[in-house]
Amino acid sequence: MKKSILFASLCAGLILTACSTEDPVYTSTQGFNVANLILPINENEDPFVQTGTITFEVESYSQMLKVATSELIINNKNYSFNTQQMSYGITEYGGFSFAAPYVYDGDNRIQSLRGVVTYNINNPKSLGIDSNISGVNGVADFGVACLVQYNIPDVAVVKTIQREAYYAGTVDTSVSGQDPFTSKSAIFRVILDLEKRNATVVVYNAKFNSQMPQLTFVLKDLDLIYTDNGYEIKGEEIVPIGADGSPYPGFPFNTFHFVAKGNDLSAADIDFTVSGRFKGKFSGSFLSQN
Amino acid sequence: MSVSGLLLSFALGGVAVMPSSSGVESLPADTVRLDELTVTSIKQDKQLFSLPVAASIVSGEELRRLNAVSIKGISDVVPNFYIPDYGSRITSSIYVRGLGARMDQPAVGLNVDNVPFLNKDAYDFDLTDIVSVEMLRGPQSTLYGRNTMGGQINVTTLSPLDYQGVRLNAELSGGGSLSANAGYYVRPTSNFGLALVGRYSHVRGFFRNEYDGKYLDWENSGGIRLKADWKPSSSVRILNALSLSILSQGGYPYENIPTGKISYNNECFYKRFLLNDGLTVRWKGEYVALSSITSLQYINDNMTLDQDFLPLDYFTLTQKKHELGLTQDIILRPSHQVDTYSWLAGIFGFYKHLNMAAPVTFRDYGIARLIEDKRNDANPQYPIEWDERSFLLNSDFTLPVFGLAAYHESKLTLGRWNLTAGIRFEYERPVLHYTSSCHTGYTIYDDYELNHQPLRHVPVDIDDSGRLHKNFFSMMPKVGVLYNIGEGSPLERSNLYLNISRGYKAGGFNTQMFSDVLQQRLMGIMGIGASYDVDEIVAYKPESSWNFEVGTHLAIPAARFSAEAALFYIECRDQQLTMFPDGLTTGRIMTNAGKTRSCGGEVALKWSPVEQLSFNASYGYTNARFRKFFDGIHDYSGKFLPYAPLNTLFLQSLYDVSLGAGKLARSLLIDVNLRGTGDIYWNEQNSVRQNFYALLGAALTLSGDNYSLQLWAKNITDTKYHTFYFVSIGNEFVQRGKPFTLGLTLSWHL
Repeated sequence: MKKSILFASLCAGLILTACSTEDPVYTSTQGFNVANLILPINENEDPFVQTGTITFEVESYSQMLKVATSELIINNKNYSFNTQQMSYGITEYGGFSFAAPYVYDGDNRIQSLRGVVTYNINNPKSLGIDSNISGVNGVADFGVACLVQYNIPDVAVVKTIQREAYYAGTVDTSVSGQDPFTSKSAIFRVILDLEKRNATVVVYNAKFNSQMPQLTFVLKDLDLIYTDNGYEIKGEEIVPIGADGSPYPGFPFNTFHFVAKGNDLSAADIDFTVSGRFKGKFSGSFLSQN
Repeated sequence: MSVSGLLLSFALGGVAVMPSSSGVESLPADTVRLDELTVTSIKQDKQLFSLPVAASIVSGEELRRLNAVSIKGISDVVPNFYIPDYGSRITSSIYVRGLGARMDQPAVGLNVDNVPFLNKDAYDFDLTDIVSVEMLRGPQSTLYGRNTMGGQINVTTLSPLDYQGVRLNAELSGGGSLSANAGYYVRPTSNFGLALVGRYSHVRGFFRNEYDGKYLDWENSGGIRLKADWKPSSSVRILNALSLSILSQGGYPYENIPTGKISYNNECFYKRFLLNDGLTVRWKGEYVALSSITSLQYINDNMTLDQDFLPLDYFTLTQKKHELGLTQDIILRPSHQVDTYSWLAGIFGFYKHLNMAAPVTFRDYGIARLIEDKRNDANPQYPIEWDERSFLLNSDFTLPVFGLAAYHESKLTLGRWNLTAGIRFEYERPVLHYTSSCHTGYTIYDDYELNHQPLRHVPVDIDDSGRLHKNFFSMMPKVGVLYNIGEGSPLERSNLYLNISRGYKAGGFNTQMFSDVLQQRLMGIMGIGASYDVDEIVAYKPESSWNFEVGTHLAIPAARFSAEAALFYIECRDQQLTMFPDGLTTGRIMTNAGKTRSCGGEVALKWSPVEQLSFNASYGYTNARFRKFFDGIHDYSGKFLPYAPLNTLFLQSLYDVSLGAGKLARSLLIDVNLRGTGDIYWNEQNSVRQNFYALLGAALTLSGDNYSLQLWAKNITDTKYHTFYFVSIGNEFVQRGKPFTLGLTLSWHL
């Protein structure tokens, strides 16, 4: 009899729990493989890149999230953190943004954590270009940017960087003796090879004056340089390759200089000189303007 | 024709221009009374001129006088109604008050014996034994639905319940044309009639291809129509109209402007098979009348073009399609006219399914000039040579579309005032499935270091496929106020009206651009040019308009005078325009202009001062401009809309000479007429135009008891004019209008 009553009570308890009127909690976990650009505070130390992961545990109902990083090794010490819950804002197309001035995780302490995960980035389809270019190997399919920055006090500033991005903006080209030419359709696709410390840049819709057709140029083996603020890409006397693999000796890039800009390094300035006479300046971003 | 010639024609031929009107006992015998089973009668009123709408009715007799066998024949006769004759029968571009369409969705609806034609590729066909052609101008979207924002044309053919006997017709005319029709109308019982009509025509052509000396605009066509009209009871009437037609023609006599020649080396033709069947059932109960209009349409055609229209091998196109369309319209209205209030309600559904293959063949000269040269000019150190001297750009599509609509109209009569209000809700969903492919290749040579040795081979293997769909919702209201001018006055059958209505033209997909999408993809593989985004370049948005109109219908039976006049203002949003893209492509982009507006007026008169003499006159003026249209490069704000004429003019005088009774020939009808059109701007920049021109026509018709023999002439002064202009791969072309034409037509009725 007692056993029956106890069993019945347990069942009742279970049933009551199942019928709880409390709202269910929806939690999702999203992880991203990232390239962390580490900018040491000590000026005598060089910036470098280390790959890792960042994981977000998102509680959509309460609009709260936790951020956790994999370990970074800086000067033989491990740094990682796992935040408490913090609120986040919703960005377009299902992305989110967050910020926290301080994060304490046991012995780990970071400052000025901020980040945005956004799907609103330039991609071949939205730009109307073909990513399939002879001799160009892009990063595996992407459609999202995970842009996170934070400070490890007295150690380094850490910023995630995109290994492949499409920069859209305006190119102003000046030529001696001709009217300046502006193009709003040029696109710079930047692919970083972190192992080789170089970069490939594909210039879509390159057009330097009104008579020239729009051409696609591939600039290979450009130097990838990490700086105190971010990173740059440089090259000199590069003979571009066309989309079908044919060299274009008629359009040598005498100089090419890319500088990543902005706190989240989503913008860029590019200066270049072609054929000794076309001087181009580009300013744009890989975040979609639509 | 010059202005002085114009005035001379007026003096000789007398005045007048009048469109026919209906419903007045004392008007001439060719006055048309609408049959109760016409879609107009079902949806509107037997007497169109009692409605707040600008309407013209051209009777069968008037069509025969004008020698018009298709709707193109009434171009300019109806004010502000223009159908240019160019290309082939697949091109039926109708412009009404500045609104029109050269491709895809029509701006004007067409019903033939109640069958709504869903595809304007089928609009241009010859009809025999037409009783009337009604042209309702202004948006008719509330009652007739999508793609009637410019107006609605209703064609009615002869019913075997109204006529029995045999009708024969034969014609010879310029351009080596001959045609013959035969119709057998029988009424086996008092309530059942059957008509079988057959037609054949042959045209040798007017324009020769200077490349091979052959006539380009030849044509052979034929068709049959079977019409059954049955009244099983006093409350039920059933009409079935089945028509089949076959066409094979050359066409496309496009003249290259710089050379002044029509000359191209690859074949152009258009072949078409059309089947239409419409079943109309009307049941009239004690309180309500229920009508059902069911239709089936099938079109199977092949348009093959030398797309460059030059004696050069650029590229050719073969577009083959077959499309099946089904419609169902159910209309409910009261059986009897109530003094103060009447109403109408209906539901409409349609489904059409299109299958199309449109491969473009790139040929030697096109490969050399458009691909190799373009690429090698940019990189002469590493030139390319194509693997073959012709290759295919394949495009296949299926496009199922279905739509549903519900509509209602109420009419309130308060003394002399009639108030009309209506609304239509419509939903439509087109889905485009496409596959595009191209398999070819080229070799890059090294002229920089290796003395023209092959550097590498680049295969071009494109296999794209996709699915696009759209959902379109629309609401089409209308409001009308009509005031009947007083009874007992000379104008007792006259009225004034105000009409506000919304027009709608469906959006869709421009499949013609796929070959250009492929071409751009191919160039993209080579690293030249920018690729088109399929969804952006192929899809186009619906067009909508608001039409504001005031007008009048006047009739003075005692003076044998009738007239209609209207002033209109149309605001149009996202007007669909066919543009030719910059550069070396051939497709036509369908784009949406920001905003346009069209304003103007029209007048049509008919006067018969004495019984033997009558005058018709119609004039339409349309000022249609872009209010806001920036295509990304050019701003066309303020420019005239292309292809729509500013003026249309029709003048006609008819003098009937009685030759006396009991003789073989009883009367001789003398007809002198004038049609004028223009100016027409040919592009958005308004840099090219066709000035106003007029075509003088005349006819002498000898008639007896059961025959008529007509000697007629068109464009008597051989006026030179153009009916079309376009630019293709940087070359300008026009189509010349038809020259002076003389003809002889014999009709015989048993």
